[in-house]
Amino acid sequence: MAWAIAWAIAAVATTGACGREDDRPATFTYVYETIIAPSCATIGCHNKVSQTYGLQFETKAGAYAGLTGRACNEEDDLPGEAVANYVRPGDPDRSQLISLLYGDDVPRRMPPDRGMSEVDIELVERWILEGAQCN
Amino acid sequence: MQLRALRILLIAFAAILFWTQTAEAYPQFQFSTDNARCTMCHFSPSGGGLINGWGREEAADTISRGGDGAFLGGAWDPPEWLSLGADLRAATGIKDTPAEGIDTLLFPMQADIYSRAEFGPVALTITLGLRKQARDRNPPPLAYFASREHYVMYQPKPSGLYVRAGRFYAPYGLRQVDHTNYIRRDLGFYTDEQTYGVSGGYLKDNAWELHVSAYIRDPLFPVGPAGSGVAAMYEKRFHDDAAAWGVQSKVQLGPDSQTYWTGGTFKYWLPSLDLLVLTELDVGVQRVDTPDADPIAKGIAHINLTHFLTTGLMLGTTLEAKHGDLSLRGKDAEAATVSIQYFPRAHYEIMLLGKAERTRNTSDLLSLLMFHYYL
Repeated sequence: MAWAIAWAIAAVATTGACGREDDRPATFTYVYETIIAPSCATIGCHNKVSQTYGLQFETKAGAYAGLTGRACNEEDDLPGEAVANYVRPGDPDRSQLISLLYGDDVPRRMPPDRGMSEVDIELVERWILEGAQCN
Repeated sequence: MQLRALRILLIAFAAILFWTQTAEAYPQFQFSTDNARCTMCHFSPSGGGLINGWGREEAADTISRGGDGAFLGGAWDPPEWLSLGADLRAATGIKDTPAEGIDTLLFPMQADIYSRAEFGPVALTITLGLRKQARDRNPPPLAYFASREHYVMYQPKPSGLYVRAGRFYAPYGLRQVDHTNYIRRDLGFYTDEQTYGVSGGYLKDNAWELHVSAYIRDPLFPVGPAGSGVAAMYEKRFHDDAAAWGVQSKVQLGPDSQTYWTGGTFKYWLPSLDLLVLTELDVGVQRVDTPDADPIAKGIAHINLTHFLTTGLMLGTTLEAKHGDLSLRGKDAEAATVSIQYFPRAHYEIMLLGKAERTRNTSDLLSLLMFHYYL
């Protein structure tokens, strides 16, 4: 059984090496559920408890407001004060979020505990490029 | 004696003013200490947290190189209905990442006080520590405190049926002490991710145990996967109570996604080699409620080998891998950890850990020296 798990480790590590092209939807719901919530909203980081840099990502609306400075639903008030504008809709190259994720010209790469995969950063870039909507 | 007890208590409370983190179990001591199930040494039906009288005896004679494992070293005995304890951890180390280079670390890991009051078959368990992560400009007073576990449990006998309600981790798979392990970090059991819920189960002596839990994320200080969920695990022992296999399943229902996990564990004690093998494999599917999103297949594999060099000294090796989307290139990560744990006397642990982690576009190195005192 232990050998089976060792084999499974190798299998999990190598699966996807010949993976498909990334056709994941660049919607904020997808980006939030698969990237932001598991990577950025953990304890000590951007949640209601820690609020590092004033950012609260434990809800989709909070993450969108914190990153874009806009409310998810324009008829709603901002769910809390917008801390900064990390995202410039349509322009990932000038969005500070992308620099933070790549660790380029910033004091600290995000997330600091482990780097984000390149495919995930590219998906975030695509979401910004497509207007950074709260879709 | 009373002065000594008071001094130890003052040190513990002073430490709590500065430190905080989380309380954990040592699955390495299952089978290797001739204790077949976690409840032999812990009050919690799934292990971890406050240790019972037998656990304190084992802490001195079996896992450490002597000493007195009793509360306050035996300086004061709480009344029979009350059990108390504490865990204090601090660490220093070096982290090397391509983005930031070499960084030295010195940080508190844990400061928790445990209390358990028993009234016949009903027991109230409360864990209390301080939460250093509260950085809000005007945080509510409660934000400075963390009660990672608090629950009421009905358990007429050590073996048999139990029910508990409150805040705790739902029993699921291995619960390794290293919270950065993928089986904890990526399955909803990371630091402070204890959920509120109801859990029940059956402990059939040393033969088998079953746990079923329904839970929601902490509504007051939400950390971890959003929404609610259900988890179940079953463990069956064999080979003269020196081995076990288990199965576990978990459903997480969030506002915009649903995640389904299932997996198994295998534990095997090889006395001739003084070696314990702990393994876990989980596969999952996540569905995200957004147009054109395919279900995401995930996988996590974990193997831990612990060699007991001599009493109070163990050498551990952990290999783990995860894949966040099995159909996609670049969502995988692997890690290898080597650790030496030394228990010089009851109440003390020193751990030296080295960890290398690799993802598709980065590799990090971490070395850590941890000091642990348990009251």
